[in-house]
Amino acid sequence: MEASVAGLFSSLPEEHQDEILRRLPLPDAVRTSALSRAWRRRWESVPGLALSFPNGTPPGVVDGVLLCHTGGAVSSFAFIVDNASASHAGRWLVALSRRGVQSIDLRRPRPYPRILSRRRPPTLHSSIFSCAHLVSLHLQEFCLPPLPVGFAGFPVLEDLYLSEIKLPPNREGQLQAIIHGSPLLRVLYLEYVQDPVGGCVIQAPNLHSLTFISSENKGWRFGELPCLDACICYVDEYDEDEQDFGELLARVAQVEELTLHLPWCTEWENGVNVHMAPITFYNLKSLELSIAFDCMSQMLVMFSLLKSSPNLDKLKVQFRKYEEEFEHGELLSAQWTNGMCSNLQDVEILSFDYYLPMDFIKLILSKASRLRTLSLEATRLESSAVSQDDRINEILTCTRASAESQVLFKMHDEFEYIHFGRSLLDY
Amino acid sequence: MASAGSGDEKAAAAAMITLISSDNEKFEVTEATATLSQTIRHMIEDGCTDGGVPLPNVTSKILARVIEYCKKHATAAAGEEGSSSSFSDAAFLEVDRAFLEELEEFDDAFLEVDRATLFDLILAANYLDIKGLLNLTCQKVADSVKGKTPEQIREMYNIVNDLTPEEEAEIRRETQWAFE
Repeated sequence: MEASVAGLFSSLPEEHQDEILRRLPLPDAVRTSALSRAWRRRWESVPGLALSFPNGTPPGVVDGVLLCHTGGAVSSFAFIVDNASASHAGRWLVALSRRGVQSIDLRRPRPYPRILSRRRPPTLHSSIFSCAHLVSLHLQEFCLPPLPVGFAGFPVLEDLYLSEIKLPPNREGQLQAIIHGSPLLRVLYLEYVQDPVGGCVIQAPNLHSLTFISSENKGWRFGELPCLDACICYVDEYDEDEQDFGELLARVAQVEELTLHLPWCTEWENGVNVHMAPITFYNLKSLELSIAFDCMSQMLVMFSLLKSSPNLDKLKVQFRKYEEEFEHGELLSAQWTNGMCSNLQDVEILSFDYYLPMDFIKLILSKASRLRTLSLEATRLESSAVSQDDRINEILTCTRASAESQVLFKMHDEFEYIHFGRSLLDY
Repeated sequence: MASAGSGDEKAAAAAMITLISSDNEKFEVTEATATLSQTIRHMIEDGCTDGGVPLPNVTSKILARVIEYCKKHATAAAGEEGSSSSFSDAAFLEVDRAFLEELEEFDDAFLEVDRATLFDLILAANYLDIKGLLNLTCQKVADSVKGKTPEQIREMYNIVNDLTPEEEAEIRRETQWAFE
């Protein structure tokens, strides 16, 4: 049964025509209806078609597609909900919950560059909680309705991404119930989720990746996370009455990758118990930090992490600076202990406030015995007493503990915002 | 690849399967290669592969390509199974990555065929029930259609437009959003 060129598509069994259509973006699949009579309503019966609508699609089109598409299950649904379409979204969710949708992605249109919105976002329809086949749920800028009585959970949910979500007032433990009702959850992304009640303990038996971005730690706790591999934690302000920072770190001590963004110095000095429990990060291979260079307690947190991570091989630090003049001098080398950073191979240092953290650079070069590369990315120094070339010479000629090590420079002419960690607030 | 029925050692021959194309050409392959096809796997399990497996729906030209695919991917599958014990984690990850890249390159090169061959491969993958090959070939066809106008698709795949101009205008009006 050699396919003749004349009837390539018609030579295929219907299920494989479906297979091909199913792999097309929705507009491409719909356009095939203009090919010929046989193709006219072909896309409508394709099972598992991904219903991803381009930005700006009129809501009436979604109504029409949901009505026409008779192919049974919907694999995924993605739509950018603007003010004109917000009132339609409820109806769509009702329809999707009945059709076994596996992936939902609902976002609000964003201005660029992205700013956090102050307006009250629309509230989602509660049938979102009846989509029991969801594997992936991505919501951005909505109010969540209260959980329905007898919420059965999301038994197969693996990815949950909540950004700028407002949880309902006067209801306790809503988010915790969602997480608890999703026993297969592997990836959890929480970004500026507002919980007016608070008291959420993030605890999930199969969670591998946790991203927690919040303006404060108030009302949030990390519980048992036995499978966690990677944790990204950005908290703008720590509250001293809450779980202290050391305790929070202890909950994620099992990870291989850790990214921490510590707040500005003043907020930190006033409010945080930085007492670090004697925990060891045995699995930690890659550590990314964004710290205030002139905040001694944050530098101490970094040293504690380096001391307690014997297998660390990659370190990336962004140093931020607040004070005009600041030198650590001997303070840093006094913190160094034997065996620290003994497996460290790659170090990346970012500094965009017109200075170079010379003491730290020299310390790493002179102590890390297995270092392969130290790369330095910084803004060009302008009005320093010592010229930039002198600084670079100083780095190149300082003692190195590893004969293999090389130093790479990338100097930027002016301030450029460079993303630290994963591209936050950016898609 | 095409077997001349040479006198291989018996131990080796025991794990070999003979596949017979529609034009009666014989191909000798290892069991590991052949069992990427669920259809053949079931035949082996049922013990009906003695004297060769006739594949009346697959020409020798296409069967040769399918076997090429299965050989490469059977090695990949074997690599995965044996990996955990033989390498340390980090070393294995390196090997793994390199191997996956190589496999991807192989797949890309493998798909550089004319459209008729591509569709024949879909039909063969379907008949032999080889999931990976079916996914790969269907994706290739989908990619070729992506972003194209109906006119371009008709021309690529010789689809005869039997719509009247009025019908076509109506369809385009109904689905206007998809054309923007």
